[in-house]
Amino acid sequence: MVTLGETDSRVKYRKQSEERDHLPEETEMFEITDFTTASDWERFIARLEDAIHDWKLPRSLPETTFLKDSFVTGKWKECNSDITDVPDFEYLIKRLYLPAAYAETLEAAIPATRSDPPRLSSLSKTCFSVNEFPALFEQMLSMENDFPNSATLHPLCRWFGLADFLVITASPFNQIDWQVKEDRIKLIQSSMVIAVANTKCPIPMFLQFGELSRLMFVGVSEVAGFRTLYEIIDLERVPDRMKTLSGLVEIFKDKISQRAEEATQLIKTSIQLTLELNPDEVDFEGLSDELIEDRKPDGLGCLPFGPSEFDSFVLRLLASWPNANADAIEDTLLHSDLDPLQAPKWAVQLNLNEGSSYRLSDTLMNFAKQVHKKETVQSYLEFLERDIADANAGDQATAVLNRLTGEGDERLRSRLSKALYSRLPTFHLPVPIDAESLNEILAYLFPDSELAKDEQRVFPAFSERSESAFKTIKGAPINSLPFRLALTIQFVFDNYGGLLGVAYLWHEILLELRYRWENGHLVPGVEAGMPNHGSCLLNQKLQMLNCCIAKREAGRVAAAASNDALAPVHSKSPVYYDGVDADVTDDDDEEDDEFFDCVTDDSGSLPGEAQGPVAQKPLKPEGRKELLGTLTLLRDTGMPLYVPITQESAPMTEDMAQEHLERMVATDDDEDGRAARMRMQSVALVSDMSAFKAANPGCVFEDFVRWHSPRDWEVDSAGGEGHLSERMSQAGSAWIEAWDSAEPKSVRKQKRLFDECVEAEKVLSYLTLTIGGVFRHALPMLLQAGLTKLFDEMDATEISPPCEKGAVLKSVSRLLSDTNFSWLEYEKLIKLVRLTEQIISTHRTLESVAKKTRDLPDRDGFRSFLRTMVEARQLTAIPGGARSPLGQCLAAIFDQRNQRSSSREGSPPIGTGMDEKGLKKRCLPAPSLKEFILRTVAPRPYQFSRPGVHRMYTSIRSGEVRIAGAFTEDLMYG
Amino acid sequence: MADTPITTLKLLIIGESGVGKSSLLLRFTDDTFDPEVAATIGVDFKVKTMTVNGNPVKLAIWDTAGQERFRTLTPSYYRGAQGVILVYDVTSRSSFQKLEMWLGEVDAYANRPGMVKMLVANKIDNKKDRVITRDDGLKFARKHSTLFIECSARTADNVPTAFEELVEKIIQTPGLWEQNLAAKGVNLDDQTVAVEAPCGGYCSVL
Ligand SMILES: Nc1nc2c(ncn2[C@@H]2O[C@H](COP(=O)(O)OP(=O)(O)OP(=O)(O)O)[C@@H](O)[C@H]2O)c(=O)[nH]1
Ligand SMILES: [Mg+2]
Repeated sequence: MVTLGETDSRVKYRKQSEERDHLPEETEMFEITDFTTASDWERFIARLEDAIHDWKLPRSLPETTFLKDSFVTGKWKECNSDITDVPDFEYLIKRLYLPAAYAETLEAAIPATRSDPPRLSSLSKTCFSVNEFPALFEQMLSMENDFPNSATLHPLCRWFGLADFLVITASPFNQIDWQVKEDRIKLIQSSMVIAVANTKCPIPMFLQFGELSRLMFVGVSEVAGFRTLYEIIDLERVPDRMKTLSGLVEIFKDKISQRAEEATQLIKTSIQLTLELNPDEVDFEGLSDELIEDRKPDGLGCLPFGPSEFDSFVLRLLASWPNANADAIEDTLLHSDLDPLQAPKWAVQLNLNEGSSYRLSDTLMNFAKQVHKKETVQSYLEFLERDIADANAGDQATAVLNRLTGEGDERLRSRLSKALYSRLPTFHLPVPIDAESLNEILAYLFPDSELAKDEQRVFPAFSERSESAFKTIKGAPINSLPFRLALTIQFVFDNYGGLLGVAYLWHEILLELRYRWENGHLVPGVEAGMPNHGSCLLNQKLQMLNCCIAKREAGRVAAAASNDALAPVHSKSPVYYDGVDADVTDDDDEEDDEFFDCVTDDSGSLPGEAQGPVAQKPLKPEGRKELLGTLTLLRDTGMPLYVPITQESAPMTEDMAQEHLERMVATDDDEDGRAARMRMQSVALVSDMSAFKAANPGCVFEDFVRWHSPRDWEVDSAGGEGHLSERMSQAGSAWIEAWDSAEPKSVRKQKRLFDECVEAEKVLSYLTLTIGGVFRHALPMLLQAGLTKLFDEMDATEISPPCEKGAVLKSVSRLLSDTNFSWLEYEKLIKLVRLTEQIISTHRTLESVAKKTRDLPDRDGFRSFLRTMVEARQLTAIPGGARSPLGQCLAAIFDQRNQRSSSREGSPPIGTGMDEKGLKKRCLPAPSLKEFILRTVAPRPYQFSRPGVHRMYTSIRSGEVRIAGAFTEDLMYG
Repeated sequence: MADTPITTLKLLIIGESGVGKSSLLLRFTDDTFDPEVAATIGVDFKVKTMTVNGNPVKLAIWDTAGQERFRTLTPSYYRGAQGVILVYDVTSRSSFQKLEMWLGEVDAYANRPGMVKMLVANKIDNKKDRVITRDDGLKFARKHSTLFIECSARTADNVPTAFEELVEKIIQTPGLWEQNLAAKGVNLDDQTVAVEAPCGGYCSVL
């Protein structure tokens, strides 16, 4: 398969210098003399050749030239293969190429191309017949993709201008530590040379060696009887010779010809200097102080916005000289023509730092991440409670307790009833939130308390957004208690010991809620009325608690009214624990039956109190509410029909309703199931029937139907006798069953459908959550607050942010709807929030920079330019460079004298020479990166060889120089 | 496995008491008519599988009581419903006049964006007592952008069509329903999906 002729054994090879101080001109011949034992090696070469054959690489590349910037705009393609079956030669092979769609064929472009600057290629063509000039050389000479502006582009494209090449890298299975052995690299490289020659592979093949991040390669290509070797030098110490263009040109010439003075070929160069401005790092007349001021941690009741640290973006000014005559430019250590202010081409690019963190999006993400924490709040408190066998322990505990409870203060603070003192855990460790901060927090949450009145603090409030879609979010009203709870949890989480702090806070909140329930104070900041199933569960639970408190208070007021002798309910002495106010009920007083509010009565629910024998047929009607029109009883003519006082329907939170539905779903889908469902739901119906019977002694079922379901009482058109509808008259129906089972009983005597004591305890025990549960229940409100903040900021900015409010709202309302929470969608949302946050802050900072910059020529024009730059974040050419109005603005903001940075180290700014056109002299920072491309067409190895293409790319930044050279030699006349 | 439903849809039937909601459901599920079917207490439901474009679709249909006194639980029934059938009785003007109130409830409680609404005029067999014309119904439906159909639970006229149209419309609405994740049949009380959700989810069937 592999034929190794005599010529192949004379493989030439460039020594890859591992020692840093070796300069590239040292070459070395490598001779392979013995192949008899190299069977694995031969097989490796065969596999390489197979891969090239398998991919059906064309014999020669199509004659194409790639369009301007197609390296950046085009879609690169990749083919992958590997060599696994040759011991110690396990390699991955990749072909990376830009499909010809991004190129124009030479044929079509010939007239244009020929007249254009790439004179080098037309010059070189003299040595070839037109069709022979290899496409590979065309690529290396093309200037359309010099300095591609892309961070993701493969470095070989940037360095050598290649649009199609192979790279082999050691596979993870490769056991040989070839990275450090130079011989090994030589061996692989010579294999490549053989494979490329045997297969007539039209594209270069590279070996990547060393650590991947070091980006070290060697490569070879062989086309039209030319062999090009590709090599990289990467030095940390920059030799003086490599610091300047003039030095580099010398090196380039040395490489091409041993006798530099003989090299008369025209050397063309493209140069690009990159100047960076990071407004976060330099001081614009106190700008950074302002920014820091802006970024200080936010207090209670706010959400943060903006970068959490500096370095969120960098503004790059790219000054370039495309296709200049290398010998005509003087760039030595003593003098340089390369003044960015004189560069013919300018472009700017705003780069956002992908990795930097932003506070609003971070807040939303970190908060949501806590929902999976499974530990209970209690377990955190136990950590605080842990016994210390210390003599002082008791004292300490009292001290802490006093601080916690505000003991010693005459007025009882709202948040704790004395009854609870005994239940308070005794904390030995310092509590995570000091008493003062805790008071402030509680004042924020419970503004109706004495405590809050003492504090007299005004807390920031969110203003409600006008977007109607906000209402579809299952959260709680803006600035309501649940809303504030979410903000407070976030605040404590960030500032007071993370989860431990939140556990402690939640514990305090539960104490407060219990205090309010036990003392009959409504919880402030909670939507009135029945639990709103369109809101989040936490909101519903708090509404439920308030329903309980309100109901019991109403009961107490009514009871007090019914018996003046009783002590007022709001007695100063706190009620330690009251189940049902056993001392209140006094049923004998019949006159009180007409309480308008039927809920006042609750004696029946006391489990201890046996239901006394109720008169079967009370003579006296009970629990009448009002007359039902002019209707009279059917049997007892003349007796008016009364609407009874009925029990209010029980408030239900969504999870209760859910449970109820589940019980129903659990029944069968048949007649029995249907009956069971009816029974399950007929409690309220029976209660109504009982009350009706009590209010209308002597009534019959028909009377009840006339009130309860009038459509089922059919009266003939003549207006005579009425009768039950067919469906109601069915004996044995659930309705008749219910009627028969209903005892005449006014609601006062009935078992209550809603027992506020039980329900309140249920709410309080429900709220005894895991720490993750606390975050989970607060997340909807945090998102509401977060979006409000985000939208407010979006409204305040002049740029159009990348996020569409409607879509964001839709996504959040879907996330919080009860069907499915998708983490993927959440992450997507947060990413969008982050980008919006970044763009808005970046624009804000740039605006301040512009504002602070003295003598900005065209302020308005520049501001609108900043807007588009932030919005598009694309490389923007500045036609006219430093001479254009825009260029002058850019020069002004880059001008170091407009910045007060003293600590910035580095070489003195260049380009301080006076502008010959009398433009204002600017003092630009030293370039952070200099890039040079040198190109020429010259004979090598001998003067009589055919001329080949040579190219050398150099990048210089502080502490690194990298040279990527491609040098061609003629194999026919070499 | 072939007849594993591709999805389970939740439908809700609402409207004044006595307009024939339970009768319509009974006609659809059992193809019978029983004039003695009791007035609904609270809410009732039936399950039926039907085929849409060759795919089995499971329907969980909730039949609510029209009577005022039973309405407290209703908000929770609306949640997760993909379709609502709003019924009136062509022989009862008051049942027609109350439609606005019912639509108000739908808008207040239904939480599925894109939920499909269908207006159904029932009892068209009773020509003698009819007071609401087809035109009245059409006008209302157009005004509130709902589907509209006239039918009779007694004679079975248009009843299957009504349900089919509604289900088809739901299936055509993107994002309104989810394909069953597992190939297993969906239990009505299958909540495992929701367990990991950080925001406390419930099964959409209920
Ligand atoms: N003529 C006629 N009568 C019907 C039709 N549908 C229902 N009915 C009758 O109307 C009455 C009420 O029907 P239901 O199905 O119980 O009504 P509903 O809407 O379920 O009532 P609630 O459960 O109280 O809300 C019954 O007596 C039925 O026989 C119909 O299509 N034509
Ligand atoms: Mg019914």
